[in-house]
Amino acid sequence: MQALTESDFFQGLVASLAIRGVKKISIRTDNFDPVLLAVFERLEERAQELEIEPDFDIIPDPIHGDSQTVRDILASAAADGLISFDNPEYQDIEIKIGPHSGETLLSRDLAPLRGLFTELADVFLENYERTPLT
Amino acid sequence: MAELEIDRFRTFMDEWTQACLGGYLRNLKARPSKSYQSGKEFNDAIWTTVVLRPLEVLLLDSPLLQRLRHIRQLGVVHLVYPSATHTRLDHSLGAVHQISELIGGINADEPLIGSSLESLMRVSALCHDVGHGVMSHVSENAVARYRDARRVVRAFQKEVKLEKRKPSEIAAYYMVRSPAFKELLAEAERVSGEHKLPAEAPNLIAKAIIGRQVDSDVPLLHELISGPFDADKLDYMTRDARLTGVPVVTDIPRLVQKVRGRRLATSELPKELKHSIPNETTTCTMTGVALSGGRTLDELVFGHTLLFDKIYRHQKVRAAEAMVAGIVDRLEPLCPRGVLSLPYLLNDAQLFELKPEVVEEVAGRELNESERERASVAIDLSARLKDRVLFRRAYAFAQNMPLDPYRSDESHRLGLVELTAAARRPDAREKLLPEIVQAVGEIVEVLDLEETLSSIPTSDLSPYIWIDPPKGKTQSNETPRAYLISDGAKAAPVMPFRDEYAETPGWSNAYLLTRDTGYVFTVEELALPVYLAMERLARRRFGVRSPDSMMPYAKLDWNDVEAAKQKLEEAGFYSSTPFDIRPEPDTFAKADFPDRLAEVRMRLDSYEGPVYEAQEKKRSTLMSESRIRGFVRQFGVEHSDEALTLLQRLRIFGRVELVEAVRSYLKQSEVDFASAVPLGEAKDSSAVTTYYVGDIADIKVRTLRDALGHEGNILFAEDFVGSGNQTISVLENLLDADRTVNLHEEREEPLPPDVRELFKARKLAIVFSRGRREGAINLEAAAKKLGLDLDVYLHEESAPSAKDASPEFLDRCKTIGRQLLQDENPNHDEEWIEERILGYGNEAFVVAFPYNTPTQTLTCLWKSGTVDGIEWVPLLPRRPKR
Repeated sequence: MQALTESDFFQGLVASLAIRGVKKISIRTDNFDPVLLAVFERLEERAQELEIEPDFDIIPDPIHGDSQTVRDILASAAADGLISFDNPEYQDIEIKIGPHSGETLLSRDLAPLRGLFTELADVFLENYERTPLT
Repeated sequence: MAELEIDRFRTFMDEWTQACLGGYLRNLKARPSKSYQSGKEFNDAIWTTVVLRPLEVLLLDSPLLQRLRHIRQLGVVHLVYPSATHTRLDHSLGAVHQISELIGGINADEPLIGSSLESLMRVSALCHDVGHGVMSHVSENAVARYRDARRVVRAFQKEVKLEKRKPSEIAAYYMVRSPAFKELLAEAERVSGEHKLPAEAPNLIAKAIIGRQVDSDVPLLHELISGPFDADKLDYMTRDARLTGVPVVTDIPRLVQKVRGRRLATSELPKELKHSIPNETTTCTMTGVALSGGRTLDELVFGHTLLFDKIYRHQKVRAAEAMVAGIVDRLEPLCPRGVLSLPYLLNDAQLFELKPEVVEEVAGRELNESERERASVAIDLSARLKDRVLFRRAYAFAQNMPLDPYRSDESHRLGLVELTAAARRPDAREKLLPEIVQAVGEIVEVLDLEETLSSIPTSDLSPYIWIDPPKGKTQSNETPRAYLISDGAKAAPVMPFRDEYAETPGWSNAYLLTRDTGYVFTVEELALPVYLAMERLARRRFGVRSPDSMMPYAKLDWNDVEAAKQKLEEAGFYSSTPFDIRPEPDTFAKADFPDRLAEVRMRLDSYEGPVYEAQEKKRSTLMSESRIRGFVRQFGVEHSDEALTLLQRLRIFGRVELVEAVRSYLKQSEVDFASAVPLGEAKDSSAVTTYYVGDIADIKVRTLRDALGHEGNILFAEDFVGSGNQTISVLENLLDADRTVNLHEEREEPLPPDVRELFKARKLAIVFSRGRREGAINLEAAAKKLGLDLDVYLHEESAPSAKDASPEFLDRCKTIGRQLLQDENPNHDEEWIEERILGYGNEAFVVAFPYNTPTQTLTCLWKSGTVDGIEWVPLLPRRPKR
């Protein structure tokens, strides 16, 4: 079983979204956290079969409903140059890589999981599009 | 499997707590009821006086809490900040003081938190760190790297439905729920005569410690222990700052003054809070910070951010932590009850002075020979810690490196993303380290450093090399969960802090994460070999170039690095590695080199080149001295000097030259021209050059159809003519004539028949700024055949060429060009390739335009690909034809 970190998870997802031409995403907690949770749940469903072991959890706080892991993932991806936050309120993110870079990222270390990340991008977009964005 | 592991850990904690408390409980049981009722006052370096009640004193006196006296609050920080020797016990007392202050603030106007809950919170604060093991977070971070430990953490998180829990919190959770602790609490109540704690107190304390709700009437009560402005934070931020001597901006007394409680109807609560309250509840106590105190929460985040940057993530602290992790690595296989048990089998003093008998105590048995060898490394690392012979930085990497000349290169940027991700994986030591260790071994041998490594007690160097990635995690995410409480009748009674201060997490994370650098730590003796090994690994495996600007982070002398590289190059260490990490050629060491480099840089000043995705995002320029150096190095030691000479002859022909060529033609022309028209498609460079012609006032820039609709002659202006085929192809297409050349390029529809006739009837001229005479003659002949009245004017035939370079250098350029062209398209036959190895037409031109480079220019200057199995990075890349 290969461990899959938060970095791997979001890097693969962002790469897959970039390939689809996604450029901007709203990250308002009420909407974004549940979307990423749905993606994570699909990852967990598929983990055993793909012989990977997620190294993290996305569990919304029972009281506040948000996820620190999601915030960490976003902050880390911004530091890694995969996304940037729109000033001044940090409520939207811009994906900083294009389709070509997305292809590159999914052709190296994450190549064996390319199919998974394509599926996760489907789940993301399906849920994201269903969510009323405020 | 995870369930079994968590059961094993729970059982271990139960037994360990029992072993820890057994004797104390026996003594306590022997004491009469209500025999201790006086309590105690403690002097405290931070809060002056901390008062404990009798029950709390009885808990504090237990070995479970007294062991915290032997665990430093900041693990190894005192090795960097000598006065930071405070312990978890000091902090636990401080947390009791702070909880008392917080509850005092909430109860200031009316007793919203009753004495039972108040007692519960005080005991929770006292016990909140009871799960810490040796060296606090240092050991728990070290054990958390192990798969077994991670499985336990994840199983626990799923069980309690909370994320981001630490092993020490899990340990505390099980300790306070253990039979022994329950007995301790019951006995302490009996001996003190205090019976204020609610029923099920141990479970509630455990919940408060991990951040789960303990009371639905005060739904955020638990957050005073683990939450946005908890007692833990308020104490450790002040204590850590004061005792390290690092000033912090957070005004804790002011924050405490701004803490509020307010009794509200459940209908007035924020919607997310209503979820956690039973339906029948009509009112509850809301806790938060006064609306006017929002800034104090901002300060909390800011202070926290500074502490992380200046203390907790200080590079030397991280180096010492890496050594502790190395010790844990050596001891882990010896732990009979799993790695998570290790922090509870040692104390700080033992870890700082590890002895064979202590290792045997950890193992619970005698060690065999191989285990003794393993232990000897742990003992050596421990001795180094004790004597403060710490690891040092040997290599540094980050997504944003200062003065990184390759920041705009996509492969470099993505390589950094991948290097960082690989270093963050828990298996980084298994996946990356063997390659580093292998390379270090080779380097040590070539540089003859074996003797200097005599202090290392093993031939395996891996325990002495540690990859510490950028953390990539935020530190202050809980603060946005705070609520602002309004005193006014008109305003909404409760507002989420994150709505009012939405930007706070963003800037604090940006501050921390943009400074967050990854390091490879090692012992002093191995610093140079580790740097060289990492540089090669980063370049070869991830495509990452290590900028010189990161060398000072590793405190390496550039001359030492270069001298070592020369020896390694001779020994073949760099065979099949990119040239940019090999030793610099002698040319670079000559006194005239900076001048020559500056001259080339100046020549390339107007060069813009194609803008790639990454460059576009970064808004940075393509050209730099580092890039020129990198290009020259690709020619190897033998040809670098001539490669630099070649670049000194490079000419960029731009706007000035083109306008000058057109003016020159107009001066000698017998006719006037009314229109300048781009030749070809909108995608062609003709669109740019024709725009330049607009600088000449008498000529209007028009489309071809527009120009044909106006009176007057038509002028075309082009940067370069090679064979002339490009222009012939455009003209044949416009007139839908038989094609004499086929360049396999997409073309628009030909002109309609009537327009073709109009076109043929016009006087036309085409001006080339530079190019080959033969090309101009070809074009003239082809135009005549097409029935066009076209003047072809070549302004300057001469263009710098590499043809007069030495035969050896030209041969090298040919070899490179051949390989690059072979790389491109397998359908190109040998003849096609041979005609282009020095640029199309093999004229070996050394020219470029600000916006692109002509194919007639020396192939190695513009073509990317692979040469001798190594990526070739052209200096003047062309926009690829699509």
